[in-house]
Amino acid sequence: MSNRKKVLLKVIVLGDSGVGKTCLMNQFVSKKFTNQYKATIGADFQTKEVMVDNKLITLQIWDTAGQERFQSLGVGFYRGADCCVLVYDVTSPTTFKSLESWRDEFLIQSSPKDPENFPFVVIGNKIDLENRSITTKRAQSWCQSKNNIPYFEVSAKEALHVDEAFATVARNAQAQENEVELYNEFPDQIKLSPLPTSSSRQDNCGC
Amino acid sequence: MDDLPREVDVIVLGTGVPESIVAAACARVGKSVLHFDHRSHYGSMFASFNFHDLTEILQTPPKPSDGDGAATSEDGLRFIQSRASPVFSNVEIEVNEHSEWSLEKLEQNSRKFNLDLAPKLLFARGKMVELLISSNIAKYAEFKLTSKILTLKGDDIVQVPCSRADVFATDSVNVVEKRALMRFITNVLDYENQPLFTEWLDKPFEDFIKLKALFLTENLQHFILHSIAMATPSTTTGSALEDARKFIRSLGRYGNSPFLSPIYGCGELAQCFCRLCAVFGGVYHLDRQVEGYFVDEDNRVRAVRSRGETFRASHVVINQDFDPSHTSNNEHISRAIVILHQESPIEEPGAGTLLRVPPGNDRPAVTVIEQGAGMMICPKNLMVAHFICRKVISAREDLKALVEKIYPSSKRVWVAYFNMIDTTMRSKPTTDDFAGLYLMSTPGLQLDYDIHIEQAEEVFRKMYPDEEFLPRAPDPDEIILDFEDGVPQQPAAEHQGIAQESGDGSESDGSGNPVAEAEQGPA
Repeated sequence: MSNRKKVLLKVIVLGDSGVGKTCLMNQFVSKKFTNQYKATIGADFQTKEVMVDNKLITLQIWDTAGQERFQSLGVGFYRGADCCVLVYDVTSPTTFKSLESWRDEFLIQSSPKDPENFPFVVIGNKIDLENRSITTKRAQSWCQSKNNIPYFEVSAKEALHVDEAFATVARNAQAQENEVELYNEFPDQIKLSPLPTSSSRQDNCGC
Repeated sequence: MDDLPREVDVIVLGTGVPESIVAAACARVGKSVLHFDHRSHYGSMFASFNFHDLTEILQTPPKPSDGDGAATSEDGLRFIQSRASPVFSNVEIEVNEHSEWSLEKLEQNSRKFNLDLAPKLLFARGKMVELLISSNIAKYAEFKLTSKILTLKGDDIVQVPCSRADVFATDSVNVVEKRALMRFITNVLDYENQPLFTEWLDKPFEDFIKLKALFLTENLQHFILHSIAMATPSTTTGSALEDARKFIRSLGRYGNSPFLSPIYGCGELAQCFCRLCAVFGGVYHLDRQVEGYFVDEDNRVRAVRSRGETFRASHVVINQDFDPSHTSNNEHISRAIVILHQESPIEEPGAGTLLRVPPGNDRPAVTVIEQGAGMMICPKNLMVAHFICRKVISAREDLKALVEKIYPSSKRVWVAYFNMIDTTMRSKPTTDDFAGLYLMSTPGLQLDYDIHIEQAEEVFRKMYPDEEFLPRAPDPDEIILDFEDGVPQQPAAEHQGIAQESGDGSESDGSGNPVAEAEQGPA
């Protein structure tokens, strides 16, 4: 029974502007890449179904919608995330240095129950470019120092290792979700829709 | 690539609910939007705060606009300084020294609090819920039903039977009253066609209930007057019946209560609209001071001055924090925020309670909204009660007696009394002095956001009379990103694409849109 329950996991993607967050999502979800820089217009969240350990999981991957450009992501964006993907650009040292503050910001804003073990995944993007400035070793050692965050080096443009990275995102997010469900004492949230479930409507006959 | 745009269609200053709705509506139809707030959080007077930030914001006097970025003129335009009016006054905080929840412990758990400056409830068929659904913004938030509706009758707190199930289950009305109440509820649903009501529509509802609706006992009159219609002595029968009908229609839409609240506090709502604005290209910069405006010889606003830089726009939408025209005859609201021990661990910590207190001898009507940890607004084992009424003397004078009557000292952990300005009585959203400048309302006393949505729509229609107000945003799986290989699109074309899409309404989102195309069914 529980296996057939639809699992929906919220993943948020953080990192400095221009590191390729939206491109990564597009590559993973639609297998498409575009070179032009758009400050993420029209993109909201994207969903993709993946199999993890014979279980169908829907990943709902949330983009920053450009609100990170001037440090203006609201706390609402962070709510209820099951996994946080931190992205930097391997050719840009500043974007690598920012990982620390993005991680801190996430932990402060989302206040997860168990911050030590919250699932992060770090992605170094743009390995197709020549002018690389952050070595694999340096990035790995930072990830190890943060309680062994899984680390992937990818190219959204060449579709290199993107799927592997998100497979880990899905697996770790799901492990987190299992934990959270045990603690979820107040599960009766309502999602607004034009047609609420009929069980909650007052249309049963009174006699 | 991180430069702010220097010329846009609309600049919005302040991130309260009405400004954020206008910002979202403009971006949604393809207008370029620049959205600033001088504070580092979303929501302005509609925000929710953690414990630490609430104490800080209540006790910090408003920053006077420093003259740093002020200018005298530019390109023949005159500079007008923006002046923040003080938002809070008469702030008084009481701490229960005997509570196990010391100030230190409250601070340690600070982030578990989401304390509303402007607590509100959403009618399940009110304008906010309908707008969240029709615009497809509802996906950004989650809600819970308010579980109980109470009223103070004499010295007793009694539950108001409002749904059919309540009416039949309750002990607070007898069998004869049950039938009368059900008949009244049925009649209200089409009151326009009921001769009993029609000739009274312009007269006070209180008189109607007492003189005309003789089949209603004093008990029922109380429930209808103070809880279902939420009428004051001056409310006309017409508007009271409209309110009562909204209440009754809201029942049963999502469950056995007419009201919903956003989880994590009401501050979430403004953020939902800002997110939609950002998704459609709106540019956000919080924590950004604004010095003032540039106006032309016709007193039309042409630009905003912020941190010494000039940003041009056709329209400027602001809240009271950026009002340049010294509006001083504001009304005020009295507020109390009470952090409480949760009396019994099984007493519905997951939901909320609405208590309406009818006006007393020396006290206006008071709304009390009580919520628990299940709303994600406080730590476990605590609850939060919000008190709201029109200011008579000061927040503490107006509310202290009632706070202490409902919650004995052993139950109280921490109480803050404060007054907030209220500009909802102002008749129009434009400022008198400047064209192209739209001043949006503060939260006000109203339970729901109807007036704010009406105001936002009115402002939007003034700015863009030919555009649709917040048409349904496409779901992510309806969007096919356009990767016309190697042909870079101009940013302008992107905006146009979204604008085109908006004209299509909800039936067929975005056909012919170069950026986002509607797709029927899964790929």
